[in-house]
Amino acid sequence: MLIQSMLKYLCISICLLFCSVDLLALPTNDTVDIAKPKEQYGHQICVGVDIFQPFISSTVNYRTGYEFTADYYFKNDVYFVVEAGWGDANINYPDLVYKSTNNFFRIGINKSLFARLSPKDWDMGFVGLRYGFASIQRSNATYTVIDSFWGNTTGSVPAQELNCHWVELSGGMRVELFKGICAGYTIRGKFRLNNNDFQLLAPVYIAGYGRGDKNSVFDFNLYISYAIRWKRKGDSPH
Amino acid sequence: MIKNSCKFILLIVATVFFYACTQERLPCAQPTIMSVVMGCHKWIGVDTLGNPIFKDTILNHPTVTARDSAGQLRTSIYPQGSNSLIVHMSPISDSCQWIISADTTQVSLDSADVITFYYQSQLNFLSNACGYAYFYTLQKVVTTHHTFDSVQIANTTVNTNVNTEHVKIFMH
Repeated sequence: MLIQSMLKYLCISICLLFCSVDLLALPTNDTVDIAKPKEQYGHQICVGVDIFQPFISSTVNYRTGYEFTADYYFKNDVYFVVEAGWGDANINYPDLVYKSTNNFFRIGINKSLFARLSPKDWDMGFVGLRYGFASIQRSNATYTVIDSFWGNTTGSVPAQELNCHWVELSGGMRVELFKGICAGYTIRGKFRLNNNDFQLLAPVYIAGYGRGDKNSVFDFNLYISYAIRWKRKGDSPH
Repeated sequence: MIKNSCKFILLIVATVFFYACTQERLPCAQPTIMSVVMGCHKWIGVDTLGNPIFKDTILNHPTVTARDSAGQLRTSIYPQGSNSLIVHMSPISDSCQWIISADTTQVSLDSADVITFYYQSQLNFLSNACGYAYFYTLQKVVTTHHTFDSVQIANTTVNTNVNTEHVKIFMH
């Protein structure tokens, strides 16, 4: 079931990215150059902040989430990525009351689907793979089972500390708007690895992952980022 | 053209995720009160191997009655042609009784039967949308014998599966 679900997300992601590639494709020449593009040198560290999750948090009462990202250009259009953040949820339903907080990080790689056209070209459409980890603290929860016939029953579930592990397939785009200032989005399909740990009471929101009572989720980030660049040793001046 | 297409795709994606993320509470799409489903059957003979043959029995406006938490008798009247009845267990007890009249058009104390359920209850987390619910494990079911011949537990587990017949009622 998990594999089927992952394949579905993978197919959707690939289709989405091929659409993006098609949209950004440059006009082709009549001649076909089959030579491998020359490696484009240069270092880049790009640090960014997600503006989508705080925007969502400002429109709902029950949760907040903040995410940051940093990536480093390795070579051959591969980027190492680290993402981290925190968030909380405050549930106050008639039949369920609790709070949860969590920190998270994700590590992985992005692979650009375009060869760089010039040393100054850092725009990219990418696919990525991540491992994610969240450390969660959930408060004591109070529940009520509403039964209009036999009467309501109320009880409590003790506080719990949980860890959440997941893997992500991601895809997205990033373009340079001004010198060093970039914007982009990432669409993520996430698959939790330790579902059995969330049987007692899964937090409604896990920052970095999403809805805690779902074993697989889609997520979306919109990043504004700043790129710091320098030349590699031995690079020719551009 | 390309920029406009990218903006359009981004707008659609962001809108979809915005809608999904801003729902305060997803609607609960499953029952939170678990039901015991009872099917009515009548013995009609035996097959060539000697096994008993039963057929579903249609009841004429059956009713189910129990005393609720306030001590009031509450009755559910089923439409004509029903062949299965649904009752609920009390989560604060390990047994409960339901008075079942198979034919409301001919009401008399002699025609109503009392079915007593003995069970264990287990608290289960369904989801944040639905909260908690009690599941049950049926241990024993007994009945009086006015219009019912006997009862038999067909499935001991009472949970969110609504397509299961838990108890078979055999009519005289």
